[in-house]
Amino acid sequence: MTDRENGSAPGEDVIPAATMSEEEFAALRAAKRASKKRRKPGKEGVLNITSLMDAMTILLVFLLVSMVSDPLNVKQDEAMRMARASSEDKPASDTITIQISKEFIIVDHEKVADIECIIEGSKCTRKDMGALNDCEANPAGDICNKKIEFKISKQDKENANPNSLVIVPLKKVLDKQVKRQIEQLEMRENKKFEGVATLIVDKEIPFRLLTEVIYTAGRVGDPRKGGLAKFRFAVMKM
Amino acid sequence: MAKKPSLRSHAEMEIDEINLTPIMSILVILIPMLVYAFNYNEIAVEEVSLPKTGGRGDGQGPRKLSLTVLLSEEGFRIKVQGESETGAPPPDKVVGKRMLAGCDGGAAINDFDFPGLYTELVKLRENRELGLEDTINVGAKDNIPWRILARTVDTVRLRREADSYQDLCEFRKAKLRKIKTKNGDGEETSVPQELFPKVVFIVL
Repeated sequence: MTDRENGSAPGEDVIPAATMSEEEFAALRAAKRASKKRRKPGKEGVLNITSLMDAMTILLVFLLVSMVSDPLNVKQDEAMRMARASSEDKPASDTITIQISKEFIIVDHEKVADIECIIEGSKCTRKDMGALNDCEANPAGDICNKKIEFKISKQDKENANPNSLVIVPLKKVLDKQVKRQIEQLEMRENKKFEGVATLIVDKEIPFRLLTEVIYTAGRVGDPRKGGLAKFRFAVMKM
Repeated sequence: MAKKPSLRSHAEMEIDEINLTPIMSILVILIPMLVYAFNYNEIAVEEVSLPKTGGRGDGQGPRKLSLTVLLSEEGFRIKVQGESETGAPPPDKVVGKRMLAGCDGGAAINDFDFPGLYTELVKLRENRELGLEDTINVGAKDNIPWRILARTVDTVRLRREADSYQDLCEFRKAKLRKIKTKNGDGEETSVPQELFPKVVFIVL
């Protein structure tokens, strides 16, 4: 038998394979393989991160596109917690988005009006808002039985009348948005304006404030070309 | 003296690798930030219309009764309004708040009786003699929060598997009754069956 057939380097002391047991022979081969694999001194290994880079770049692009393109992707925090329902209707993309949080009214990412949150005569803190969010699960909480108001300041109301249902800055912004959307749809895409608004409402907002927003939105638009008439309320699926 | 073309083409060029480590460091910070900011909840919508102004004036078809659900701190009031060919509409029905057990074995709370409202509405819908409109009006006192209204809209719009529920937890977990229909492409799909599909908000 040659050295090559024995699995040994030429010139090494060779124990004839016939005299070795099977275990000894396997151990010898494993030791030789390990010695071959041993790294040469002075040469450092380099980690190849190119494939990892590719995966992370795809992930980054996906996250950015999803966040920017979806107007209903609203961060849920103390001031904004959406209500839950079992509706299965999917949100449409070409609508005007009105967000009503505990602090502001926002139209398509533009802050339009401030909302005053008052608990028994004093202004709400973020902590109060957080505690208020828990009232659904625990109605016996301290804050849940207090008198809470969410209202628009009278300066932002029509004729500075606190009882008016029209929120002036909201009407101005919605008028602009509706006009722009009518132009976009009719001139460029040759479609009819459907007058749909999507409302993203914090779950603790009272019906009065909701009515004011809907009433204001209902008065927006051109009588010949239409205004906002359908309202879709965004909810989290149960 | 110029090299032979065959030798020239075999000359080895050494390309320096780009150092990706700083870009990786930015990505490692940026991606968790975006993942944190991303909203993973599935969003759906509930459609609500504004009340129409002006009378019927069409004179087409038989007159139908309209249904209104009013919310106050005491609970729900169901009103059937209008003129019917079969006689006077039924009297108002009050579905008051009651003690309802929590879903996770928590203490019972005095809450709006959504199972009771659903049960009453199904009874009215099933009463063919009344001939109710598909539209339902929903109104509330000024201080009723949106979460109660959202659940009310949800209760009045969609039909669950059973016609009657007693327990709030059972009602919340109830599956929607599905019906088969054909979509725009002629394919058969199953969609939730609607109870009163058109919801209109009214101001009291």
